[in-house]
Amino acid sequence: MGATFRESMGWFHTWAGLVIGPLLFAVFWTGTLCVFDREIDRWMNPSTRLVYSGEPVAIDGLRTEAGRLSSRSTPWAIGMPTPRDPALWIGYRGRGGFERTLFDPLTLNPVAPAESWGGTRFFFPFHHTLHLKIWNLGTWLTGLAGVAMMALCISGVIIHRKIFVDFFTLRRSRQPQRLLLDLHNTTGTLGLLFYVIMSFSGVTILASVYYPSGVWVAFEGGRSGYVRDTYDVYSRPRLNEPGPPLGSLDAMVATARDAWGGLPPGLVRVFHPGDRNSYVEVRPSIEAEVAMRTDPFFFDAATGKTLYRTYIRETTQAQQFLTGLHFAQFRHWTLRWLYFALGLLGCVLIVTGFLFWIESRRKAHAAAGWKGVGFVEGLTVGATGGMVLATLAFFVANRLLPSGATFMGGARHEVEIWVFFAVWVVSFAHGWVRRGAAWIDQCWLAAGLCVLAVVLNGATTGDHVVRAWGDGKWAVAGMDIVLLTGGLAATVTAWRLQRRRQGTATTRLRHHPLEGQSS
Amino acid sequence: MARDTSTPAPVGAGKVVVRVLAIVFGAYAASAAVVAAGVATLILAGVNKSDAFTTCSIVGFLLYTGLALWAASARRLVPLVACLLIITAVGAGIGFLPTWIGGV
Repeated sequence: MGATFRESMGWFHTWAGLVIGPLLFAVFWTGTLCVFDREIDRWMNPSTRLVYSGEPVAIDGLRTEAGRLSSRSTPWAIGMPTPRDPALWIGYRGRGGFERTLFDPLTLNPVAPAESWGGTRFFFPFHHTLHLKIWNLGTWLTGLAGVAMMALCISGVIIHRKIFVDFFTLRRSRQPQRLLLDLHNTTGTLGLLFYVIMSFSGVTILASVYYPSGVWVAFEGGRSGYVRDTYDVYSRPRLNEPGPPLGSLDAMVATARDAWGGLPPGLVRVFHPGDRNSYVEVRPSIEAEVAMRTDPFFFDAATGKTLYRTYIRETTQAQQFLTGLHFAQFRHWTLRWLYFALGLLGCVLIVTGFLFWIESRRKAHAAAGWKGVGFVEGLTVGATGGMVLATLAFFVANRLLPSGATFMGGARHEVEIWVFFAVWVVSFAHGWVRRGAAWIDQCWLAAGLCVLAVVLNGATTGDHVVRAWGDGKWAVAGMDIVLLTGGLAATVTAWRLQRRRQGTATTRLRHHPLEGQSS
Repeated sequence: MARDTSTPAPVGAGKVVVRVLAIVFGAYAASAAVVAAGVATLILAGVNKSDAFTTCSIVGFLLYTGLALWAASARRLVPLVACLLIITAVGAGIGFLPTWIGGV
């Protein structure tokens, strides 16, 4: 599309960036939030703010309770606690689909249900499905965004001859265009490796969805055949004859644990409960190592005899390593914060790309009477600032809605999600109406919402920063501190933008009469 | 970039549409066909099914990215589209023919 290869790459980078940018920001932003998905869960579901430091938990005492909760015919599972996700749960198929009952990991006393979808059930699915389920559209769009991000990184490197110079250049000149390009280049080079690794590992997780061609060629039965063969899933049919009672789950966990070299268990699942052919699957925790290992053991439910140990092939293990690298669920706080910082840097990269597009065309579009810059300005405000506001409104709504609240037939977690999408949509409208001034409004609003969320958390749960910190509820204290830091950053930005806007207005007024005389 | 003086005369909207379709769908179709061909070839060569699929699909994403960038930069549109179509047809042929004619 250009005279030279570099110009073609420039064309691609400019327009693919503009068109995919809003989607890319949504994926980047929610991905960044998902680095702390379980901490967001704790903050949004106060009943799960339990302190647990990884002591072994005996689950045999829960067998009767699990049998009572689940109807006899369907499988049930026990989700083992981790310090980040301290509530132990029993999951079963209830009347409203998959349901979980929570327990304190130390006392095994029931805990009030988690009413919000929070990080793991709202932001995480949003990150890879956009909550667009029709024809799997959201999954395909995020896949496209992943490949586009790789292509944008490559084309971005190609169009910059002086990649090392760009790395160290940040000119704070009066020309916003110059500063924006420098910021875009610096954030781009600084996080380049991270963006490439994240977009690449992100698309490989769902390779069997994105390349059905290969799945059809290789596996009978399409994707279910892929899962069966690749993950070596064991199963045996129900005999429809009553069987002996369920044996010791703790003994099965201990057998698996020894074979895994001491990895703690993550999930214990009982198939065909009560049947003579009932069996138990035990999976390791995903917190212990980088690779998302699905290395299940299968036991006879009554005797506890090992029926099968899954064998995962080396190539699949390599893919699980990429998956684990992307999910970042392994226990490593320094890396987790680094992921968070680099994720935010990626958000800055996308925003500055938009702003540079706008500023470098503003004069030309105004002279030609085109509406492109105005449209993109509103789009940028809605897609980036709006996403941040929607997230903050989601948190505030969570603390304002009383337990058990419903609205127009929607449960509490649905109302929170409606608030998220409503604020996001309104932000676009606000951007198109207020254009450049919308940034100032939205920064003030974001600052207000950050403080409000922290205040509401303290008022409704009593876990204000100091107390949460003192009680060892790091997730809650950390989330409050991040919100306050974000609020401070938003305030400073709003104040500076406002001052600059007033500054330009007075300069214009001061210069106007002089210009009149000189002409 | 758009304001560069060296940029040639504006391109017609139709050509831009074809170019975008080639980048998004043409490059994907070609990469998906090559993945199918690669999986079929590796399985014929005795490689485990899961190994064949995992390897080829991971390479497929890199191929898609490369083909998309090539589609964005190729000078002439007709040879580009022809090339993508040929890769897709040949790849799909190698990938699916053995199944269609009752092989594997």
